[in-house]
Amino acid sequence: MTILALSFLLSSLVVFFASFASASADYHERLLLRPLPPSSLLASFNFRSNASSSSFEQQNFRYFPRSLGQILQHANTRELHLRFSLGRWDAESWGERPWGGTREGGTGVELWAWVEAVSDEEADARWLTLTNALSGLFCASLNFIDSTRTIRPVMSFQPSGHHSNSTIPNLHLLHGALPREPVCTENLTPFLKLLPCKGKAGISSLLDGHKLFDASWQSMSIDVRPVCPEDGSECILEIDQTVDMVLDIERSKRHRDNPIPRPRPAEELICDPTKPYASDEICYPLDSAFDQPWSLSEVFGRPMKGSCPLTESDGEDSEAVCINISDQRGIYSSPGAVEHKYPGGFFRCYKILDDAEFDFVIPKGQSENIPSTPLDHPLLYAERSFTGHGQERGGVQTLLTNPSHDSPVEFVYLESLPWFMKTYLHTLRAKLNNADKNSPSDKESLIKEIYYRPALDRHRGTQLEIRMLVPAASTVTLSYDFEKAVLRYTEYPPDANRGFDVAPAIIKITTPAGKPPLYIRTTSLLLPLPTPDFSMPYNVIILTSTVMALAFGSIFNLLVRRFVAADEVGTSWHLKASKRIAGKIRGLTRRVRRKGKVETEAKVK
Amino acid sequence: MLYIIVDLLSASSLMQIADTGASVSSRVFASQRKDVRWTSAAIGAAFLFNPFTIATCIARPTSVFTNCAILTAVAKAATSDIVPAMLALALSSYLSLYPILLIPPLILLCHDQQTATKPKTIVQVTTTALTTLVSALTALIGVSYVLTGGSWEFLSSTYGVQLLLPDLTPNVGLWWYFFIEMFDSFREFFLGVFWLHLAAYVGGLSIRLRNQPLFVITCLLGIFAIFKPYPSISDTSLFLALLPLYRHVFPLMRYTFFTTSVILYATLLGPAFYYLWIYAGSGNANFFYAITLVWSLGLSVVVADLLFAVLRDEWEVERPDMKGKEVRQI
Repeated sequence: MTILALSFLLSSLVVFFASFASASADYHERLLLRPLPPSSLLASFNFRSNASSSSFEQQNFRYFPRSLGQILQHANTRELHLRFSLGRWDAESWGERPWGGTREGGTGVELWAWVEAVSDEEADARWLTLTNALSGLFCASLNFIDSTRTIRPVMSFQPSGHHSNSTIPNLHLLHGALPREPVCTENLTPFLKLLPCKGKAGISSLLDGHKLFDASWQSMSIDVRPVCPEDGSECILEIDQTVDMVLDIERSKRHRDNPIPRPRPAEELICDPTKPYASDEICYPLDSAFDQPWSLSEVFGRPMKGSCPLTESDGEDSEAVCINISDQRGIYSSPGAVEHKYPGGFFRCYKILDDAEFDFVIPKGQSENIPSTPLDHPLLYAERSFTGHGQERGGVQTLLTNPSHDSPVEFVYLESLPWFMKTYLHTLRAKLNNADKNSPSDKESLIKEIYYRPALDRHRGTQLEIRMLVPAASTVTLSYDFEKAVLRYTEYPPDANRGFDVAPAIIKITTPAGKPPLYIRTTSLLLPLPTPDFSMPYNVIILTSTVMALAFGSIFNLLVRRFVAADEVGTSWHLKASKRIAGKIRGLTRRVRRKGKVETEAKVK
Repeated sequence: MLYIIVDLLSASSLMQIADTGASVSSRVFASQRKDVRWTSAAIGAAFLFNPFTIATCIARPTSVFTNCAILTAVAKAATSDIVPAMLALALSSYLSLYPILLIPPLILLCHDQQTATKPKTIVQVTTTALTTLVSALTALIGVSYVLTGGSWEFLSSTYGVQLLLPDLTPNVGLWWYFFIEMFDSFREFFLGVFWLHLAAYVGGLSIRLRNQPLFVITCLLGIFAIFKPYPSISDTSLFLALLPLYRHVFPLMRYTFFTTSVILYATLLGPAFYYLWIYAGSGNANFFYAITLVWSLGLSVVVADLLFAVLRDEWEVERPDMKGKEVRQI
């Protein structure tokens, strides 16, 4: 009886709490699913919560995670962006990036923050505090973001929050990247712990490390920024967490306890009947069936466990799961969810009513003429690679393609290179690929502005920011050369012959005023450096020292000794001693070899 | 073009040195073999047509300027022009730091080659020389300070690089691989040891061979070409440029065939092994390291052998009867 009463009390408390939460609209979550050609699915999880700045300053945390909040306060960080990413976004087939590229990072870990400090040194110290604290919180090697990996971008980033005019002069932007960091489950767990529902309910219950890190591309992001409403009410601190992943539907549907790919039985093959040779025996498999059936629980490995009770109970914000698919396609959803189709024909959302498990099934395409979800094309394609051979020097070339037929694209290209990659800025070239040979020098017309901060050995890396332009329907090749340094043997990573990772280039596309800028990141590069023989320290020390000792010994031997004629010697003590020893040996041999006495004596004489 | 002009200037300084005959005779010493000499034109040509000099000229390094300044300093010192000699030495030290170790033999040479009827004492020469050198260096560094916009940071990124060896790019010397493989905690200690080792020869050679200061300079340049932090073949070409001045002691050298073959061997195999390591990937760093060891060993045998020959020559001045006989050192 008491247990019943207690549970009733608890549930009523939860209801009360939920209604309170919805009143202040402090927490919001949404999952957006979008099928991508040929057979992938983009899942964008978004969690947003906020705290008023007064409660934040009083350390009165509710939805804002206390662990992160205290770190931010301790390191005087006003705005924070943290990214964990894996894989490559295939812009050619998947189109534009989710969130316009603003919520993704380069391969590995990327962190940038606006730190409030009066001087550069103080900013560096606070940045060090911040990276070390975040390293502990997220189980990532963020503490390896030292001065050689930290840059201060000038043109590539703008604060996205609202900062008061008094703080802006003291804000320092610092940016660091760890391209080598493997992102894995131990980074997801602390990420989920920051959420109010902690992965137990709501869309976050779908996040599973096995599926997330098996994705073709994934990016987890945390953005903390102050937002001041336009109506002049109190500013809030907003934390926005997103997880974007591109799942291969085929691969995700594979059963977890049968992960080895095996040839499919003939009757399950989807054949292309349009081929002229198609018959019952011959099959051209359509492995990229765009409209193959899938369900939420198949793709994510588990169904969704109800809704997070802290979200709003009605209105658009209560619709937790949305899908970007044609309205003509039927979707079977589990009971306890309300479907809401938006005008436009390609967007519908589900509101999950109770704590029941939620799942939906998209059956195989019923008819041929259901339109597929339209894709936006990116404004720019970027591809970066190494050129040259050998381990002495090399080059980097970036192909920047503007697919648009009428408008040029202007952007800022940012490279943060390690110090052991010694760039030669005078070799920087920008070449328009389809231009006439006689056209005037491209560098002047394409590159508008360069900000370059050269590297210092073991202290800081190279920072290169180029504001440039790609004309309509053309490709620009940006290239420069560099020299590879040889490092001390303790500076090589454990697997030295694998090479060193070079952080991805960040491209910020400037858009017409009023619109937020778009970002593109290239893939990271693997830079092989010449390696010494790691097994040889003692041998090298010994051999080099021997050569030095030989030279030193022979020269000083000549300097300190006197010359005498060969027949004048015979009085020095060691000659006497050697004579005596020789005599003894002679006697000994005489005694031992009595038979060969004559020969021995002849030899001695 | 600039590099050809600089090389020609170096050659003309070399010919001036040869003309003074400082290598065979001085005020207090004259070799018995002083008539066995090559002409200055032959010595200049031997420098200009040395394959190492030509290779250096093609590579266009800044060490050519240092070499030219050193040769000018020696040429001026050989005619006892103290102030120009010290100005040239200041320039070369300003460019690459290590020539500053040549002060003692250069002062001795200045003192030795005075032709005036009333020669200055060694103290006077030293005072003039050091004053000139210090003021010239101060002026040069001061100008750099002004040119870099009033900051002293250039000191650590120029001379600091020479002293602390942060750049470990492979070269023909012994330092780079040693400091790649060195344990971090001993790095500073061995940097000190290497620099002390380099400086240790200056005192010993200057004292023992004070009668032949030009030979001290030659010998030191040979040692620098082996043991300085970032040696290259241009340092070797500088040493080999001064070597023909000692034509008269060549018959006294003992290992000429051995050293010539070792140097040829290292010269031919060095680039091949570097290619194998860096480009072909079929060799590792030890290939090139081994060749630098052979190279250093060969050069140090040349230096030691030359030293032996010069000492023998000097000894025969005291003991003319010993010419051509077996000797022993005790």
